[in-house]
Amino acid sequence: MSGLGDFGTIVQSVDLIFMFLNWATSLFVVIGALLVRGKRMMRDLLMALLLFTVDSWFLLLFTGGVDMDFPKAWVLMPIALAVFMSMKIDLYTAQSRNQEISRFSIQESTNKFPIGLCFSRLDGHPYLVNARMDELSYRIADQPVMNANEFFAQVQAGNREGICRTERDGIPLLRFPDGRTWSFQKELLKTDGEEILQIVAIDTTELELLLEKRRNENRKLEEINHRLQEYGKSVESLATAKEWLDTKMRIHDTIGQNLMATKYLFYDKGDEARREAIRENWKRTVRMLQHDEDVTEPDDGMKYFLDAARKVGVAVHLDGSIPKTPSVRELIAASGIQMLTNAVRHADARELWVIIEDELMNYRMLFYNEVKKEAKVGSGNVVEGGGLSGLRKKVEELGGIMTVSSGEYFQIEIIMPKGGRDYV
Amino acid sequence: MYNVMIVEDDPMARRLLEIMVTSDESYHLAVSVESASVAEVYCMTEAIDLILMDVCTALHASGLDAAIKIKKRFPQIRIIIITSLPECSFIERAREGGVDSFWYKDPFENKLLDIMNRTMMGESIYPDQSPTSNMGLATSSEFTERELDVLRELISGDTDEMIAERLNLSVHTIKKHVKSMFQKTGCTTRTQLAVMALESGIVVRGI
Repeated sequence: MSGLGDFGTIVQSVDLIFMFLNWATSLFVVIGALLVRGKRMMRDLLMALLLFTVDSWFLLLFTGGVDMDFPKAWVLMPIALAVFMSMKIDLYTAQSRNQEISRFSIQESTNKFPIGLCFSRLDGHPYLVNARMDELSYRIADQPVMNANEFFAQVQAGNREGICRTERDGIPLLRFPDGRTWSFQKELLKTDGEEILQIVAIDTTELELLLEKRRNENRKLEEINHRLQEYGKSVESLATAKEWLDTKMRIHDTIGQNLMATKYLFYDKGDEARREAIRENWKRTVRMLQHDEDVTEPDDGMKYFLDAARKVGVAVHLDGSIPKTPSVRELIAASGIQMLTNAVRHADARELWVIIEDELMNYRMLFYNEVKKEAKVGSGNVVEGGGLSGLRKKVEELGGIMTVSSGEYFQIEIIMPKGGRDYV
Repeated sequence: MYNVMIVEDDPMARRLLEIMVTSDESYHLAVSVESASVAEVYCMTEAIDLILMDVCTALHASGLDAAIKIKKRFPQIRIIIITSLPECSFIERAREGGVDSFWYKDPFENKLLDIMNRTMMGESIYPDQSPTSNMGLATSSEFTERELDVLRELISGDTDEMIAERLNLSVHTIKKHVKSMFQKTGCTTRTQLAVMALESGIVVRGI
């Protein structure tokens, strides 16, 4: 120890206190680094541990009575400790910054999101736009998001070359030239009394591919179902054909029996009653065969309607031409018969009007008859019974609309789209 | 003499019925039509005593529905349902609707006239059960009532979800019934099952 006396002792004491404080702060920074997790924090922890070790070594060294030249070691020591202290302050502030949520930390973290985010005022002035949303904005409008409303309007328009716009549940979807599809959803958020616009962009490429796959599968399923329904209809006629064949076999058998009976009659004359019975059998068989020859295509539904009207004494005034589409013809016939039944049952009507209009997209059919005075209940709604509700069901199954009204006239109006569904 | 109305869309079968009716002195053929949809209007204007009603008629009109409606409005008119389809629900629906008699068409037997006579005498004649029909490895009697309900909806070509909604069942239950029918019939797909059901006539939809 040199002979500087009291001054040397004071400097040493101050250095020792400073050294102890330094050691204590090292310990504090180590604990702080331990409490914070993450890869970057590991680096901070290692640095803090290094500083703590050096500080501890200095403290042990100087308190252990190591004899050192006063001015050289004891004057340089505070400088070294000051450097260590500033490093620790840096470390501490870095740790503190990582634990606090600031505008920058939010921006930094949202930039890492796989989705695009934009928060703005109602007038579109952005509060926060993450990197992904800005990137999308560049692809849509060649600039970052300057105004959220204008940006969303451009998304809605989707008229940029190379970008294909579709929509799902009212949400715009943009497919970019790289094949990726993004959905853009705009929402109004309310927070602390303030209204904020939020635009979220989500990469829905995989979802869209799955939906497309499902759509294709559903189309195939619909085709199969349609074929099944068509088959169902043809099975009905197959059953009829089978019945017909059975009947023909029966006629064939009857002819065979008649021939046998007639042949028997040649050998054994038999009585008059027997001859008459055989004659009757032949007549019946011939009548049947004559009819068999007459049978051609089944009658059109309109014939049933007009025949029935004629037989029950109701004049049908038909205006317009009957469309050729079988399902529409059948529907007109079914509606006409329903009107006829109602006209006879409720109104004792003797006349029935049918107007068919061939419009651009639809067939418009109007059926009406006069209502007898005592049956008039004023205009308004009609309670639909089994017949009318059955007809309504049929119309709706074919994709049409039916309205029923009553007053001076009882009226059914049917609007049937052209190319609507066929009967099931 | 009883006035008879025939409702039958198949011309050959209708002609047979007409011949049978006209050949018997007790009956008079008043009306012969193809579609059940016009039957009610004729009942209003003609004095009909007996109707021979087919189930599947022209214009996709259900003879069963028409018969039930006519029975409500004109209870004095006797009705005999005639069909060749083995659909098991027809008998039950006809009974519930108050239809007088039920006959499965058989061109090789002449029983109908006897049934007509007995029906007009006030008797109600119904077969004990619907004819047994084969469907793959199973016969129609092997299916439960619920399975037949599901099968009836299955032939519409609709999805399990739609069928479940119509029958007020869960999709899981529908799948369970379909699986059970696969096991019974030996079918491996729904389409195969539906086609078999349609061909066999065990279930008929929309009638």
